[in-house]
Amino acid sequence: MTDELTRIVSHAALTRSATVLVCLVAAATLGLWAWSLRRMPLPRRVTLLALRTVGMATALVVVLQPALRRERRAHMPSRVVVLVDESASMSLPDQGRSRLETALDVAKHALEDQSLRAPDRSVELYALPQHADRDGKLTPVALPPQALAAQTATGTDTRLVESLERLPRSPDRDLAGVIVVSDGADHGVLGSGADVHDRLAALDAPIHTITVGDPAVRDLTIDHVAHDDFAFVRTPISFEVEVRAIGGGWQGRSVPVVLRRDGQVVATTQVVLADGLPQKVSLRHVPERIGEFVFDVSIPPQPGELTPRNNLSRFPLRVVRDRVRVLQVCGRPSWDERFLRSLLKRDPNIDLVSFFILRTPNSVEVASTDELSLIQFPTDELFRQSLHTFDLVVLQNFDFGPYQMGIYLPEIRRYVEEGGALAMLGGELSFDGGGWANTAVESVLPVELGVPAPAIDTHAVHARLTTAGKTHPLTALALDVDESARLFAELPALDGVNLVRRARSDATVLAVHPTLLDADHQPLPIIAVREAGKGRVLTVGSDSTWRWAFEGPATGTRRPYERFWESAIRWLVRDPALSLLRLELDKDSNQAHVTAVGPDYQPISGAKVEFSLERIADPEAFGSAPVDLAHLAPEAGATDERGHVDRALPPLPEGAYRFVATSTLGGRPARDEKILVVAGTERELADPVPRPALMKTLAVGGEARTASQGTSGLALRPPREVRVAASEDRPLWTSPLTLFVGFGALALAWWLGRRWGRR
Amino acid sequence: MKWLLVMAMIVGTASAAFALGDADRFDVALLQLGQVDTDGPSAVERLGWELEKRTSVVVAPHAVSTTPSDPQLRRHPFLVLHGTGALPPLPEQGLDALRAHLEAGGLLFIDAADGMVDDAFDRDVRTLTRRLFPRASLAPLPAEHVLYKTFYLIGAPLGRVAQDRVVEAVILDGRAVILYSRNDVYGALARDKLGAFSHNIEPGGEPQRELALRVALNIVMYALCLDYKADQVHVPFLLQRRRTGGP
Repeated sequence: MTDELTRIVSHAALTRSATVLVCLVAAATLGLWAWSLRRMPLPRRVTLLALRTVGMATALVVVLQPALRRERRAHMPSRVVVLVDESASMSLPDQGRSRLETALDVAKHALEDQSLRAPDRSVELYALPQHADRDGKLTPVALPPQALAAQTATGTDTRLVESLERLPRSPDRDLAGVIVVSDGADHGVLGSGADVHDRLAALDAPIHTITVGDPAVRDLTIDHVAHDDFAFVRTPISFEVEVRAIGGGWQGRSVPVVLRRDGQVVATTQVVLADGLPQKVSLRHVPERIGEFVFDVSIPPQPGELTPRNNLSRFPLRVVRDRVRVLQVCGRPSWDERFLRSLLKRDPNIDLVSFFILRTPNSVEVASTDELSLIQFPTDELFRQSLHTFDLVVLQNFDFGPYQMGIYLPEIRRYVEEGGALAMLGGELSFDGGGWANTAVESVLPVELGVPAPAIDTHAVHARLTTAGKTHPLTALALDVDESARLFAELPALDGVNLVRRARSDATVLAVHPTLLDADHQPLPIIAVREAGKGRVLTVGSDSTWRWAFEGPATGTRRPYERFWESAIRWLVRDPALSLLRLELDKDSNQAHVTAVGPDYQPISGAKVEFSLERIADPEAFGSAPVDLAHLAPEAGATDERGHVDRALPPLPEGAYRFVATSTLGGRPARDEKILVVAGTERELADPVPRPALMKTLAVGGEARTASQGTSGLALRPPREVRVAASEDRPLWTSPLTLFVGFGALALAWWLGRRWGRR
Repeated sequence: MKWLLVMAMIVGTASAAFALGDADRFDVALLQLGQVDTDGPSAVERLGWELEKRTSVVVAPHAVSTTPSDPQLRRHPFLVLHGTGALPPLPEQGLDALRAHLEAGGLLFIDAADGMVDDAFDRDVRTLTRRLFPRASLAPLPAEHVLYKTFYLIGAPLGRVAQDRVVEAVILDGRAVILYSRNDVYGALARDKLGAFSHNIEPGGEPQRELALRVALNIVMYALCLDYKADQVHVPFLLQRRRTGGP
């Protein structure tokens, strides 16, 4: 829209100061003239002063060279932005409808509000972003009017000031004003109480706010669950839960607070509520397994609550070992037992429980019990009650028969299949010598038993590494394969070996006898490993690896012995660094990275890796929207030459998931998994009370209203005027009439002055 | 008859008392440094017999002799230096070999057989230990040390004589690498060719011989089990038995 403006301008090349000075001189001259005529009769005085004034004005016109300028001007188009909060807190009920419905009504009326509209001013709708982008920015998104009916309140990150700063600018339209429609439940700089005036003033437009929602609500919310970043297995961990009762009617009431791990209730307590005040309770849990788990803390939904959705807080927690807990059971004192015990005791990361059989049933004793330091072998406590508390069980030259342990052997098998680690070390009391053939324990060993007695070979022997043994972390004594084989070959000879029938088909044989053969005419296995269920098992068919430590290399170092056993323990207890299949989730790049190696720990190419998703359900009272996880899981892929497969993480609705990668590596199933907690509305709903005070703070240069007051009459920034055409000047002083009038007036004043007696 | 209860805890068939070959059995190597030792071999045989009878340890039938320069020294982690008289100075090479043996996990039990009639052995033993481990020194083991409870609960570690009521030791990294008794423990076990004990026991007689045997046996158990009996799981039982009284 354009209009015309006419105004006087000066063409004289005078500065503003010079122009003022000229005008002052002219005024002073007129003043002196008036003073000099003070004795003359009034009519004559007025006549002369008028004529001189006309003359002086003419002189000024000549000096200042005024011109009449006609300009054509236009107003810059502008826009009013209505910013609608679509965060999850806007989904809460408000007088029979949701806050968002109220907000959308406000937006709809704003579109039709004639006080906001003008010929060159539009009303545009925007919505707060659902969440921050990868750079952490919160850029509002345009909201087409026709899409109003389809809007949902699911945003997870309300930060009003930060979003206003990212409001898209238009090169064609000025911002005449912003109308923010929200409940004020802000989690950004505004909610923090910081001074935001200067940041908002930079918008250079009035900000009006319209608060939706009734502040008089009644609700219970889990404000915060404080816990350590990770937990140690078998070590108590505390969860400090802060429960807040909003509104009245809660005082003195007791409600349960429930802690679950992967959907199983592991602790419960009661919290006594106080109106308006947060109350803290502590939940304690002793994790018995390592791994990554989803924990959640919840309060059952209470009648009359604004929403039950903030009664639940879920989070992942990794349970790690503080120390590897090892049970060492030995059939008799020996140097093999002694050197292994020394190594285990020396390691500060190992918590060792040893039981050695110091006497046999045939032993003779004349001393009384009080003269002996022997204690009863606590078989039931060890193998039934506490077995699951050990990360590794070492059966070292041990026969179970004399100790009525047959009933516990299935327990040991179950312990292994459920993830425990077992090492059976040789000696005449071990393997077939210990009666382990055809037992539950034999079924998890890497070797098959059933060799006729004595099932041992007493000749000294240098064990020979297999191809797998040269690269397997257990027997790889050096990074270089050849160096590793050389070091192993230089180890002192073993005093003898246990005979076994054969290695199981799914076992990995790492070291064999150089001459003896098994039942399949294959080299007799001496060191073998196997994954049985979720657990791992190692067999060493000799009781003289201690000689690797004591006789060792000529340098006297014990590194090969230590390296072997330290690697064995790491492998047995599934040190993540020794996993065949490793899954990593990179939430920044939204990628799942898988690395696969074979049993020889070399990258394996072409291995098919499959992905699956498992949902860890929320408590029943909270419900979970069904999700087609099979459809969402990334498609399977084959590893490249580096053993890698990468896949994009799928978009998942709020909740906790177990992301699983599986493959078959070296003929054995391999699996790794990670927990994926998709952030939800917890923060949005943690404090669901509308906050008009924050909305008032936000209203910089504008008004803070409620939804019922609407948008009518809100003050907006006037349209900015811009010139759209060249101006046209018409000089005034160049007219001859002007000069004639001026000089004529002065001449007449002079003539009259002479006539009226002025000399 | 509490010991019967202990026996009852271990029932079932007897295990075969053999190892993966003779080299796998526990043996006692008598260290020869030039001392006079007539009792050692028979004492070791007696000790082996008692070990087999009283414990689950599988023992080599005969003593072996070795020297620090013996290439087979490292085949024998448990060394016994028993005897009387002065010890010729050990060459540096032998000293290094012996030191490396002990640092690698071996144990040397020094048993003075002279009953302190002549202090030459004692003097040279102390010189030897100082040369082996200049930064450590022989010191009496306190009464609560695990050596006194590795198998038997022992109040006083007596031998053929009762010269001292303690055992001295050189400790490295929490482990005793040298044990030293001046009570001639092995002398109490020695037998003559007819099978009779070679020496009378002073002053306690035959009961003291049993105590000497228990000391010798505890030392073997210490060599094989180290501080096993100091593990927390054993503590309440052993404290209770200490209160009810042991030898």
